[in-house]
Amino acid sequence: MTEEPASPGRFLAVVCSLAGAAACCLPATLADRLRSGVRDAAAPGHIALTTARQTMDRYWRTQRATQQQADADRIVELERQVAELTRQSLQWQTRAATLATDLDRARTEHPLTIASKPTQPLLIADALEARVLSWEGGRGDAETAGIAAGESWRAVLDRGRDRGVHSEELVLAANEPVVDLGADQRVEADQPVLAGRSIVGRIGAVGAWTSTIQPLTSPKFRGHAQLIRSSSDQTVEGASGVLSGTGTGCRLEFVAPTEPVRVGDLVVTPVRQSPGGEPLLFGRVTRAELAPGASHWSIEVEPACDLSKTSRVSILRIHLNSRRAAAMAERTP
Amino acid sequence: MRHILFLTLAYTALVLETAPWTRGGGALPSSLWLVAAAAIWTMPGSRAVLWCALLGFLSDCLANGPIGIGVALGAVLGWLFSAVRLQGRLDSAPAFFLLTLSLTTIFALTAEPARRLFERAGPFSVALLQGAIGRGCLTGLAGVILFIGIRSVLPRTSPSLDELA
Repeated sequence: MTEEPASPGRFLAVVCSLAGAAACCLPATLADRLRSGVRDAAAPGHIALTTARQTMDRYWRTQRATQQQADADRIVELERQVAELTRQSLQWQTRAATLATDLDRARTEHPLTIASKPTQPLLIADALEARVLSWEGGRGDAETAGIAAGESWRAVLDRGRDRGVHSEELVLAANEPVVDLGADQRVEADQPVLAGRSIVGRIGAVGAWTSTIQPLTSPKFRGHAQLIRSSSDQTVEGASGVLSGTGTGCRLEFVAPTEPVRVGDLVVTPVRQSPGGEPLLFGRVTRAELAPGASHWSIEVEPACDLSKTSRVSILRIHLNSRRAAAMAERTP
Repeated sequence: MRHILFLTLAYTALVLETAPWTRGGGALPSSLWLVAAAAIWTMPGSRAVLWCALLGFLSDCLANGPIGIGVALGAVLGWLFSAVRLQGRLDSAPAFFLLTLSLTTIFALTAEPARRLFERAGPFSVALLQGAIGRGCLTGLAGVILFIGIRSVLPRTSPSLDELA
């Protein structure tokens, strides 16, 4: 049986163990000095680590600032592009309006060689002047407006024939203006009410002698409207939408986000469908916002005329041309 | 060359162990014993013993109690694990994980009670056991991650078992 020589590893382990055991007997002051020396030796490493961390922080901060600056520059560039495209859009609209005018003029100046005979229009418009009898300047409360409009609503009043009340007479809501024209002047519901060339509302309910006006700001008001923009030399037609009252103002709804809209644009009756052939003014755009991803513009409109400050209005009536009716009667045997 | 590398690693481990952000509490891997495990893995027995003794000395300097316990335990554990690795011909990532875990846990479970004995404090507690095993597991995980990472980048970084023997 041969004895295996001790390996250098085992020998070193024994030596180190003995050295360690001996080191345990070192005086405390010497041990503390050794500890301090080791900790001091680590200090440059700490400084290097701290410097590296600070350098990394600075690098990331610089990177972030650079990225933010790049984003800001990109936003400015995109805004400039939007402004430029909007300007081009307006230019093309103006160009389209000019071409439409040129086309109309060309058709007038170079008519067909076949002679055409002027004819009478089927519908003609006229306006009745009316005086506003009462106006309390209310807020367009829906319930009382419903009473005035004579909808499918029934109520019992505590006044009767002994007080001079007769059937078919209007029961007035306190917050809707009344004009002194009624069925006796062939006034009918939904006829436009004008103050100058501005629409202030429409006829709500018609009585024998008087009628109520449903103002533009009434929550029940709805009307077809169109935007137009006046530039330095001409007027450009814009998008169409539905004008509706909000109780305190008006709103133009259902205008597509692809259409250009600006604060200050005029809101009028549809140019090609206006009674009398000329557009009538509803008001002016006071706020136009397009939320990201929205399907329509959010447009607020200020009415052009304040009905509460108006004492005289005109009621626009559309009726059959009597000459056409007379011609028909002559031809009929 | 290898000794210079291990000197740098030992110094880095010392800096990491004494860095200000390690004083906030919470479990962290033991970088000193990670280096010791790397030394056992890559060096012949005698050199591994010397490096483990040196790292034990650094551990003593960072702890309370007499200096020397870490030196003795480090040297014994270094020789023991080096011999086990060569006898068992262990050369895989799980083996390195087990080596690191065992080395860190056994050192913590022997050195700390020994230091407490010298200071006449209670030699053992459940918290010490939990802390030792927890730190051992963390060190083992960190070790195996580094092991796999280094092996995937540099496939031939450590000498073969035959070279070590």
